[in-house]
Formats: sequence, structure tokens, C-alpha cells
Amino acid sequence: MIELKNVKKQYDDNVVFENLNINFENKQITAIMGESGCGKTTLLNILAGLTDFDGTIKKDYDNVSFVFNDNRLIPNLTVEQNLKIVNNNIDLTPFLKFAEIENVRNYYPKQLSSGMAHRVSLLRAFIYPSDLLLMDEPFRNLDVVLKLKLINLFKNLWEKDKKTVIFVSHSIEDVLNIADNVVIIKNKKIALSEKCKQKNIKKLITNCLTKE
Amino acid sequence: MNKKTKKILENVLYPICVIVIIFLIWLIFAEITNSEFILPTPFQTFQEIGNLFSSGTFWIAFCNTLLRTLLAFLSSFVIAGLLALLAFKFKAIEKILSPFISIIRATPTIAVILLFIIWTNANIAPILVSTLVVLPLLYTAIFSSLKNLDKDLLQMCKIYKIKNKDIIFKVCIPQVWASTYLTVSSSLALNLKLMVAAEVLANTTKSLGGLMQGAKIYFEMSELLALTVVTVVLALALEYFVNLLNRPIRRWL
Amino acid sequence: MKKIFSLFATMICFCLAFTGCYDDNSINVYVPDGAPALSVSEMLYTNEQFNENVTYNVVSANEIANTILQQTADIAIIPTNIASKLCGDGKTYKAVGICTFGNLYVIGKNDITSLNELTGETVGCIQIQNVPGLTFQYILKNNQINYTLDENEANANNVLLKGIEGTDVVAQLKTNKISYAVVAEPLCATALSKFENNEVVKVFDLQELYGANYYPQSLLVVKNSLIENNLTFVKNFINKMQNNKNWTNENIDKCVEAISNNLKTGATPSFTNNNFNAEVLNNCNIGFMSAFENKDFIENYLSNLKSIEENAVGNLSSEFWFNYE
Repeated sequence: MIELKNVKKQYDDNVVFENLNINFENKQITAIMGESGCGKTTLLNILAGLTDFDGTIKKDYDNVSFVFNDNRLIPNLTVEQNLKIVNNNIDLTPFLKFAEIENVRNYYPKQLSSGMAHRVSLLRAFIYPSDLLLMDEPFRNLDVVLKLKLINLFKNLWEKDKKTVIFVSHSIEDVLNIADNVVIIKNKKIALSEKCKQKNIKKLITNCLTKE
Repeated sequence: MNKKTKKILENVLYPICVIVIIFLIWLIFAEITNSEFILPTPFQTFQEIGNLFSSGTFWIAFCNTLLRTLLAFLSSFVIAGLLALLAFKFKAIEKILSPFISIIRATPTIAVILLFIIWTNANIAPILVSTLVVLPLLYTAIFSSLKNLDKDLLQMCKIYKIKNKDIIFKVCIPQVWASTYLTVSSSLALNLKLMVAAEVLANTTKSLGGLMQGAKIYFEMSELLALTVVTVVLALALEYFVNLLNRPIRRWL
Repeated sequence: MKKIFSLFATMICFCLAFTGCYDDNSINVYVPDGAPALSVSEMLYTNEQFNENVTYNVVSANEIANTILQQTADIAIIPTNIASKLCGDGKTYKAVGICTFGNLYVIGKNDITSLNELTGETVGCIQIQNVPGLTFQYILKNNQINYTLDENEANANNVLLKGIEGTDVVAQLKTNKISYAVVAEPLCATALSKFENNEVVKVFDLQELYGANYYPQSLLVVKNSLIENNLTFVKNFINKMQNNKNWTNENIDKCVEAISNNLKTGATPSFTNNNFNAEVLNNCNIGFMSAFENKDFIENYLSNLKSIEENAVGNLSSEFWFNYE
């Protein structure tokens, strides 16, 4: 479990959020929602160890995978090399086949279509031996077919390797499709923390997001 | 016709047309001046190039100038690279270097050549001059490419705990090379031109510049033009060669 | 269309402007500053017109070759080897006379008497690739003295020759970068005057060392068209030149003015009232001899220079010589 106690993030005079007390269950998928600027990405960065913070985080993970909205594949390495660089010790072929990108293993990122690049990015996150997977709006700006395929791939990969997942999303639909739990950050604190199985969860989320 | 043939035609036909036009203009002006002491014809010049190629003195001079150019360029590149790296890491160094680089850039090349000839000798001065004049160009190019390194990519590498060695060789250097190789190739050609200019002024023995100076003093215009043509072709070849290397280097990196 | 036309017109005006640069109707005489200018000093002083329209121009040594190349000069005095290169075929200009007979001297820190004592030393030489340098190299070679122009090959058994500018001679002697220098008069007198207590003295006279006590240093050349169209003028001019030495001897005080009056404005004259006197005049070795009558002597000199540097001397055709008798 990841325990956040009284976590606060402040830039100069600007407090992003404070008194964050929340736990993330292992091997569960939690979605983080909230309006722009409320600190969702900041929270992910803190969990990834990229930003400092006030407060304590009790964690039992070492390695973190991160899926970015802009893929961030190394441009002068092939697909295969991009995957090998995070984990040199496994056989990539089953993974590539699983994601249906085996035929592009020797392509360079600029030769890939957007969908394939996203799949590589997702694969990379699962190939890397990590316990925590962070995703920052991974399905934003994708057309509906691509999004469905990618969500499918994610689910299949997660079935095989149940990492703790924390991801940021703006889409209630995606959240309810994928996540076990949902957290909403509003007004510099946590405004909602529920299980998605909850009855009326959609209404709860909507109300929380829209009320003043 | 298919795309490939069209591309070849474009890359070959246009340059050939331009070269032919240049020769025609040259020929016309040579006929107008009608004096081989002012402007020899292209044919006289090419004959002279043939003479040069069969002369041992020429090849010794050619190799010496080329080696000096490569030496000067490599020195400049290494120094510029180190300085750029230090300036990138330490802001204080960037601030200190900035005025120096500006001054070097602003100094008229001819003054640098003359000063170095006085301070050192005819063999060393051209190398020092070329190294110094090209330094600001390479420094600025490398430094700005370091500053423009993709920070998102580096962040990804940090998260995935990619080895430092891999970060340097597989992420940083390819990016730096991609944005500097054009400056590298044009600096190399510039280096050659500076080298020859300095050699002319210093009257360096066993050098292309020295041969040019000799030709000029004895009014051997054909030889002077022939040497000029050889130098131009060499400069173009160097630039082309570096640009050609770009792809293999990127693949290798 | 308008733009193309105006561009074309501008280009034509540009070209025309250049062609109008020198006066076609006058006879243009060009001489280099220094000893050659002295050899026509009477004409320079009196602005002798010979009942024609004559323009006298005293130019720097660097510019004189251009006046032949661009054929702006109708009459010019140029170094002998350059004359052989540029007009050796006789098709544009012909050699008429020898005007200067050698004004080169070696000055140095030690009052040595033999060329051998130069071994192991560094000798600066003005115009090392033309008459001064080539003549000196010939003299060294003729006296079996090893020399080199390459710093890397200098050692105790040879003389290192270093090409230097006239303006650098004093500085290089003072800083011991050279111990001796080959210089031309009046630079010789000027340089010596900058040292006290005979720190630097005149050591050798190249004219003596050459053997004949003189050599044909510069030639008077005349444009073929002038010879064809106005032979009378040419003969009158030569007459004046033959008398010039007497005039200069009797009018030493007028020589400096004669030359500086015809220099381009702003140019630094070789001769000033400070460095010119009877001794300097004598050392400049001016005079006039027929080139035609002395062509063997000239050809011999040129072949000696050629043995040092093949490119320095051009091929001479028989058309090169003009017999004005």
C-alpha cells in the first residue's frame, strides 16, 4: 500500500494542495480527476520521485513506470531498442506479438503511426520491472477506435501483471471503464475518494466536479 | 517517370547545369579580357590542374594543408565541446565565457592572422588562427543544442532509471549531433578557407596557401586559379563528406 | 520589365565608369617610388611634356605590375624579372633601357667581411621572392653557401633566409629576430640611422658581390602602340633619361620634391629630406643603358635568377628588345 500523510506541495507563494491524506491499495487501479491546474500531474510527479514535497509518503515500491501522453520514445532507437533499454533481460517477442506490433520492431519512432507509438509506450511501462505504474492522461486526444484498442491492450497487459496503477484522466467514461477507485482533487484537497463499484458513482463524480 | 529517377535527376541535373553556366560565364569573361595574366580560360586552368596533380610538391602541400585543417578543426571541436559542456553545467562559466566568445567572434580574421604570424611562426600561426576563429561557431552551436535537449525525454530516462552511459550516448549525443552537424560541416569548410588564407599571408612552406602566394608573385594566374579551384572542390568535398556521415553516425549512435 | 532595364542600365554605367578611369589622350608614365623614380626625377620635377600631354605617376612597388597588366601605362619602369614575365613576348610592351643598376645592401649587427660568416645566422630579406631575394640567393649559391627558407631546416651550417617587410627591418633587428638584413637604398640609410654607436652597420654591397658591380635591376618598357605611333616622343624621352643622372647630381635638393609631387595623395614617400643625400643618391645606382645593346647581360642575369626560381623569369622573345638607335 502507498500511504500519503499530510502531503503538501507549494511553489513559492502558491500552494498546489495540502493536507493530502490518502492511501492507494496495491494491485488496484486508481483514477485521479479534477479541473486543470488542481495538481494531478504534480501528484504523479511526487509519486514518481521527480518533485520534492512536504509530508510523508510510506511506500513499498522502488521502480516506477510512467506512461506519458506524448509517448517519449527515444527517437534514434528502434522499437526493440527502446524496449530493451528499460529491460534487457526478457524476451520481447511475446510482448510485441501481444500488442500486435511485432512487424514494426525494427522501426524508428518517427516511422510509427500514432497508435503504434502509444502501444510501444504502454508496452514499455509493463516490460519495465516496476510495482507502480503512473499514467498522465494516456488516452487524451485519441480517436475513439484507437482509444478502445489501447484501453483493451492496457487491460490485457494488466491482467498478466497486476501493478498498482494511478492514472490521471478527464474522461468519466474511461475512468469507470478501467479504474477500481476514483479520487478527485478540488480546492487544494481531496474532495472525493470512492470505489467505482459504488452505486451512483457517476452522479457522485459529476456533482463533485461541477459544484462550486 | 518514377519518384527515384526524378530525385536523381534533380540532384544531379541542376548542379551540372549550374556548373556549365559558371563555365560559360568564365569563358566569356576570359575571352573579353584576353590576357592570361588577368583571367586564364577554363581550359588553361584545367590544364594547369593536370600539371599540379602530377607534381609531388603539390601533393605534399595538399596533404599538409588538409592535415593542418583537420587538426585545427578537431582541436576547436574538442575545446568548444568541453567549454559548452562546462557552461551548460555551471552558469558561472557560461557568464564568464560569453564576453570572450563575443570578442573572438567580433575580431577581424585578418588581424588575428597577422598577429599570430608575428607572435608565432609561419607553420603554427595558420593552425592557431583556424582553431580560434571557428571556436565561437562550434561553441555556440553545441551550447545551444545542449540547452535545447529534450527535457521530457530526460525525465522519462530518469523515471525508467536508464543508465547514465546510455543517456549520454543514446539520448544526448544524438540530439546534439542532429542539431550541430550542419554547423560542423560548414565549420570544417570554413576552417579550410581560413587555413589557406593564413598560409598565404604567412607564406607557409609546403602548403596550398604558400603555393598560391608563389603563383601570385610570379603572375602565374593559371596556377593560382587552378589552386583556387582545387581548394573550392576540397571545401565542398569536406562539407559533403560530413553531411554524408550524418546518417551512418546517427544509426551507429 | 522596368526593373530589368534599370538594372541593366546601372551595370552599363558601372562598366563605363571604370573604363573612363584613365586618360586615354595623355601619355601615361608610371614609375615605382624609390630608385626607379629617381631615374626620371628631372622629368618629374619639370613635368616635362615634350609638346604632348604627359601624365607622370609615382606608384608603390606593389602597384606597378598592374599598370602593365591592365595596360594603363604607356611607359613604365618595372623590375627586370617581372618585365620578362609580363611582356617577355614583346607583344604588348618592349624593353628599351636599363634604369637602375642595383641598390641592395646587407646590414647587420656584426661587421663581418666574408659571406661565410653568415652561416648559422638568420637574414631578413625584403621582397624575398623577387629581385632582391633572388639576387641574394644567387650570390649565396654562387659562393657555395648553404641556405634555406624553411625555419624547420635551419641549423648551424646554413643561412636562414626570412622574407620580411621593409617596415619590419628595424624592429626585427632590434629584437634579434634577425641578425642581418638585405635592404634597398634608401631603406638602408633609414634603417642604419635608427641605430646608435654603429650597433648595426652596412656589411655587404650586393652589386659588388654579384661580380659585375652592377646588374640590370629594373627596365624601362614602352607600349608597342606608342612606339609605332610616336617614335619621336619615345626618343625624346630616352634622351632625357640619359641626361638624368647629371641633373640629379646637380639638383640633389630638388629630387625629393620631384618625386613626392607626383605621388598619389596620402602615400608615404620613400625619399624624404631626412634620408636623402648625395651618398644615398649614389647608392641608388641610377643611370640609363640601352636594353638592346646589353641584352646578353640582361639575359644572363635573368638566367641566374631563373636558376634560383624558375617561375620568376619569363621566356624572352627577340621581339622583346627595342633598338631605339
